[in-house]
Amino acid sequence: MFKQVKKSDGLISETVVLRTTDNAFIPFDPANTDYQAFLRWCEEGNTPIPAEESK
Amino acid sequence: MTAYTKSTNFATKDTLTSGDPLKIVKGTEINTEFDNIATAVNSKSDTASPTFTGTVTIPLLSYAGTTLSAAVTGTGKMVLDTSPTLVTPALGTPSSGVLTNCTGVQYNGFKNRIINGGMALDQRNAGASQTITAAAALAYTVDRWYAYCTGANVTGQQIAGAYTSSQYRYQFTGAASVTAIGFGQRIEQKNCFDLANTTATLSCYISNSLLTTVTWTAYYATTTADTFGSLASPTVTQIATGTFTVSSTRTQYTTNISIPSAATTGIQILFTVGAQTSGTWVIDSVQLEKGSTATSFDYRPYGTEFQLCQRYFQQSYAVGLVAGDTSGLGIVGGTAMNNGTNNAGNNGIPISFKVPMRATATVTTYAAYANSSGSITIAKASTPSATYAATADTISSNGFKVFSTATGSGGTAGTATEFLLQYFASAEL
Repeated sequence: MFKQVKKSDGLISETVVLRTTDNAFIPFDPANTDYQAFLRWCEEGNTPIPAEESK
Repeated sequence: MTAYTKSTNFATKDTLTSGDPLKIVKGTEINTEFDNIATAVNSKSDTASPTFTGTVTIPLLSYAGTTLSAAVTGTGKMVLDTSPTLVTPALGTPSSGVLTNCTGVQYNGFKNRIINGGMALDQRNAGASQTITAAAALAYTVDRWYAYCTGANVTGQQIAGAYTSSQYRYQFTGAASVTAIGFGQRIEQKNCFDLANTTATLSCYISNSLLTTVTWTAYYATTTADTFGSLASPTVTQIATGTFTVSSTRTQYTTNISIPSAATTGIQILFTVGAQTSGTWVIDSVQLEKGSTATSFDYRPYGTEFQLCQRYFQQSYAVGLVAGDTSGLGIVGGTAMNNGTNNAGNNGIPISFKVPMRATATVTTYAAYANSSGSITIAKASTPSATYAATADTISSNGFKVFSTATGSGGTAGTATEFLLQYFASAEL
């Protein structure tokens, strides 16, 4: 399971996604195997959980 | 060269009767004999320091009691001690030598393309046992090595070896219903590019208290460098496969692998066993080297091997500690400037990796003194340090930035707060 990440300015990050199973931040790098797994997960029709509103 | 041949038979003169003129020994006959002797002697060599010319044929030569013809082996020309040219000699075990000008010497710093082939580095588990979950994704174990299993979970663990063999080994303990175990390493393209279109040699030590067959398989990434896919969806092409017939006694096994010219995209070495329903499977001293000969295991300096591993996985935790440790040993951090207006939010701090990583790394942060992933410890003026949710971004192969926008993480705008955290980062293949 993956979740969108907000940057410090509150905008949705376009370079990192959170893997919720272990709270790992996964960078959008094609050479990163976790990102490759994220892409496969998306190809299966899944979408990441939207980021929470800032509290 | 002339041999002495007698011209006059003086003995026959004795049989002649007195008065026979031939019975007389003439001076010319004697002179002729001496001339013959002189001619023969002058064409022979002295026994002391003789000088030969032409072709000397010696059917049997003995020196100091040793028959030299029996001590000679090989074919071709005799070898003298200065600047000889030897063609494919088998030198045995030279007692000494200087290889300064030699080329093609294997032991030149990175003979073994397998990293942590000696199973000495175990950053993730620090020697503790690890459960390999059946039918799950690849699980990284000792540094650089992954494992998987089917049928039922197994445990894997770095274990001690012996000074007579290897200091560490990796051991799987079988369990009922297990149908297969895999243990492998993916070698980065940059570390094996030159193996393409050559013969490589795989060697390892294996023992198995239950099974007698261990299968080895070599692959290369099919299309994209360093992209091997997942266990369920591999993107690899098989190079070769074979089996080792093993026993419960630790034994070295070797095999040659003809690496195809297409294998310029990274290589994967995989060992598998079948139904390890009990007993143990132990492996160590894995080596993949260029050439067709299995040479001795390449013992690299521990610090060098450690840094080679950190290119793929590293953590802030002190050596011997694992993720979730709460001692605070190894923490990193810095001071961030608050930018929040409601006691939440700050600019974050940069964290540099100890060694540049293979690719942009996956980062997991932990609070400095708590087993809490995705967190950070923040200390503010007049406020006890506390754990807050953290975000890592601006990640690269060299480091990342961590910040927190959780409620209470910030302070008065314009004041400083201290960030403390632990982390681990992965750029495994």
